Amino acid sequence: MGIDSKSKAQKRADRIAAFKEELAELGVQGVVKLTESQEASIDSHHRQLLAEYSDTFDIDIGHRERQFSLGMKVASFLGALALALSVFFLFYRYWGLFPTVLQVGVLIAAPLLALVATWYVTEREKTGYFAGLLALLTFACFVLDISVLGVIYNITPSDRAFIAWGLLAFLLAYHCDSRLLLAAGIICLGGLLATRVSVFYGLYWLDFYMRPENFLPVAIVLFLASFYLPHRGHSGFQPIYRVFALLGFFIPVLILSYAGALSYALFDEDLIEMIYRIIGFAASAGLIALGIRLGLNDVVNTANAFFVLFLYTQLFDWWWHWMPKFLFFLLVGLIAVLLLFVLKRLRDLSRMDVSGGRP
Amino acid sequence: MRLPVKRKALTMGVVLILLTNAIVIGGALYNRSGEPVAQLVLTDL
Repeated sequence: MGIDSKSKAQKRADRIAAFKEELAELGVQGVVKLTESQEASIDSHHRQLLAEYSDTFDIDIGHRERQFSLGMKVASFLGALALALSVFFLFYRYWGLFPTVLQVGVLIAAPLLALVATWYVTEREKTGYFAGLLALLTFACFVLDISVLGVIYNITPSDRAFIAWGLLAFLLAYHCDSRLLLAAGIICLGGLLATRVSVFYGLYWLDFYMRPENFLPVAIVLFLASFYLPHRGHSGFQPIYRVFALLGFFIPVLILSYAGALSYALFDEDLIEMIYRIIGFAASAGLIALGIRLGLNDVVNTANAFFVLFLYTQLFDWWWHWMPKFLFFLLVGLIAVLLLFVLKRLRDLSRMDVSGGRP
Repeated sequence: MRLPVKRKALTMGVVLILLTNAIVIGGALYNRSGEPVAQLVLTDL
């Protein structure tokens, strides 16, 4: 049937609903009227498709079902968080009463049991909410396992723990189709890459955040990964890679545009700050254009937010200290209105692309 | 139609958890093996 993921099936179901609604409206207005046999044929085909999608992916057919699904997602996340905290505080409450061997046994057994339970539930329950909850619990147990072992045996902190945590998060994310765990995996492996860059330049790994440029290679790797990694069956994953890539790029650039001393570069601080401000403006404008061209809403929105942020921090830097406050806010307001016009124009342009050149 | 069961991924997850724990505990035990080079005796006084 050519559909391999829940989100694609959901999109098709939404299109079918919109098609039915529009066809009914056209019928009322007398624009077009299908014959009874045509209507029956389309209706039967759509029913068969929806039944198939509902059986395979448990999609939402209808507004009410979608609202329930949203509630289930929230409940699943809160449940996972509460269960993870419950495990933590259970350990914390009785931990001192256990001998070391039992402590180690419990720490190793907890993520293993949660992992097996995740797989068991994934095979039997197609909605994915319970599996997602258990997958988050597995990840939390594993993070707790390695952290507490480090405390018990007084082990020197190491960034290599991020390898194991990141790999497990990716494994669970791709198995349970969980974007939250994908984000956790990206943070772990992205953090590892940043610490390795800082170690390469002679810093202690825990000081990796002292040099924001450590995150720039992470941003590049993530941005390329969003295009080249196979995401078949996980259509919501690409935007997560891209948004984290853009955050990993723009946040360090924003920091360095006002704190040049944190850069690895050995030029004059003011020059470094100016260079990063130019990079920030040029990159955010360029990425907005790229996002519009490729139809990537996540890139357009993130780059847009950072363009506005760069603009306002720049205005604050230029005007706040000497300008009367009423004039400052008046100018900021006028610039916001100007931005609205520019964004409206950009929206019209993207709409023209969609409608084949007609405004 | 059901999605294929990914047993291989489960095995990889179990191996990853066990291997990580083995490395951490193995490293700690290796550190504690042999004679201590110095000992500190603490008293209540």
